[in-house]
Amino acid sequence: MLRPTFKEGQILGAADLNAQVEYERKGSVFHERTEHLWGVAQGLTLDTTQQKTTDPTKPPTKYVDVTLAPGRAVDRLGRSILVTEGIPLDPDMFTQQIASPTDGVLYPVFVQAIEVARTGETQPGKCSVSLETRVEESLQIAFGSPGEEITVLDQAAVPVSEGFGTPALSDKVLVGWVKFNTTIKKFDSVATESSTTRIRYVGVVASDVVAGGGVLTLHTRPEGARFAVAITENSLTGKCTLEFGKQDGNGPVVPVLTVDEKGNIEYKGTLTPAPLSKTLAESGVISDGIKVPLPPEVDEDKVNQGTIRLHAHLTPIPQAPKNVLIGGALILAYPLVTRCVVDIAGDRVVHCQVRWYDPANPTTKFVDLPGLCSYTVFATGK
Amino acid sequence: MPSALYGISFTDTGNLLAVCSFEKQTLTKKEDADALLKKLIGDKLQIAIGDVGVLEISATRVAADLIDAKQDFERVVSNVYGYRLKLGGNDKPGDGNDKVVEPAKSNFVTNIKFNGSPATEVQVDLKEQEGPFGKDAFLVFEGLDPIKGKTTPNAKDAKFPLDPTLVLKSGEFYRMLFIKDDVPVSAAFLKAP
Repeated sequence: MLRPTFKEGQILGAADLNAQVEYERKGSVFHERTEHLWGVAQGLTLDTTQQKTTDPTKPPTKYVDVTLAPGRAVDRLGRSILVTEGIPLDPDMFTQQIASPTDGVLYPVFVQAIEVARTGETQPGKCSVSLETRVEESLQIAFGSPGEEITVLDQAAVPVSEGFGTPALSDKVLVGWVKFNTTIKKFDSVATESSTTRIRYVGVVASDVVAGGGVLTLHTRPEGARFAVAITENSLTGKCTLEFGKQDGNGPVVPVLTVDEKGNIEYKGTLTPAPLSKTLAESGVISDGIKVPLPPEVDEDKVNQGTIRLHAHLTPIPQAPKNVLIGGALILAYPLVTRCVVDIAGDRVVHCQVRWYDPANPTTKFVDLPGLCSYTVFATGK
Repeated sequence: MPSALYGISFTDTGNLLAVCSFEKQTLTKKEDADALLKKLIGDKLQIAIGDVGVLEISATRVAADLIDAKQDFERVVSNVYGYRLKLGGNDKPGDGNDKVVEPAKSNFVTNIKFNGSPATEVQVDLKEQEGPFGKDAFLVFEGLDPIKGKTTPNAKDAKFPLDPTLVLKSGEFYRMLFIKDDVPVSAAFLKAP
């Protein structure tokens, strides 16, 4: 790219000045085409004013006057399309461009950059000549056939290798849709989306977006009631949150989803599908006084923190009568299980006791001794 | 991984005091066995004798081992106190090596009683004489470290003098466990004279 330079005493020709202008224009359009995505940047809404027909011979029919609001867009060539004052949409122009409109159908409305040569102003002491020394970067409004907007929206930016690029009829920016009343030949209504197609807004091409002050926010609209995703870092506490939720104006985001710096997630809605909790099990036999083993892969810390819940089931192992020391003396005794419990949320120690009693004196001659049981323990959680 | 049976034994004799089965774990050294023991019993093994309260044995006096008891699983489970680790060569309880078990049935306890009033010793009567030389035996008495004693030569008993500083309350019950390598472990809950 050539950048003009000027020397003292140099006589400047038109080419020198045009080269300077071209240099600036190329810088601008290349920036728009390489660092941004083309589309509507601001405004350019189709505003309506409700009206009624006033023909006394017919019943009144509602219609709308449509005005393209001021705003700015950038097309795929990187050209700026600027509207500084509202522009009324002309129903006659619509019927000129759409030969046979149909009631109730959405017709896309585009703005298109055009260049209009203008005569420069005369200067004192110069001959009054009509030279076209200005180019007005103007626009025109175009109506399209239903569905035409799809091919327009799919266009990629013109590559840098093509310089300014060659403008084509398809180089336009969608600003909305209108419905037309063919009976009264007026606009019936406007829309900002058609089926799944929506207005394309400008974007940013970036692999890294950095906030200067520790708060990074994405908004769905420039202002008003909108949704936001905000990453907020607290430099004093070292904590950080990622929030998604509604925001009214510049008020605080009312989060429905929050992730903190430790990965803890809070949400107001429901998870679909719901996360499946893992279930692990262990089973076997166990003596009184032994701690119930945790299933493999189960972290003791997670159990203690309550992230994993345990469920246990114990069944005493039957015993046959045998000789047992009761009161110090060996007696043929019968077993009776008196205890078989575990505090699975506590110390997890099995308490299994068997009362060995003399069948001749069951209430006076007995001794309680450790027993054995079979166990099953389930661990559920994440 | 398949399930395996683990035994907790008295380190001095290898007698089983408790068992637990769960998914097989790889124990290759003493540290592995110690870690497993800590998971299973913490700092002490609690043995519930009597209606309320337990007899406690410090974790330093017991050990955990994987027991290869496929043939004897049911017998071991139904009579834990009747088995001991079969220790050969340099095997020690809790050394991390897999063990096999064998019945401890050379003799058995017929009676346990206090001698003296107030009691000064615990006498454990055996079915048979243990021979002309005293053999090692242990009494785990409530509130005390395991007492090491010997069988009485040419007699059918083993006597364990109690620490003179220990004052037994007459009429109260005390828990105890007699342990000898070739005799089933015997628990008693005796009223002090």
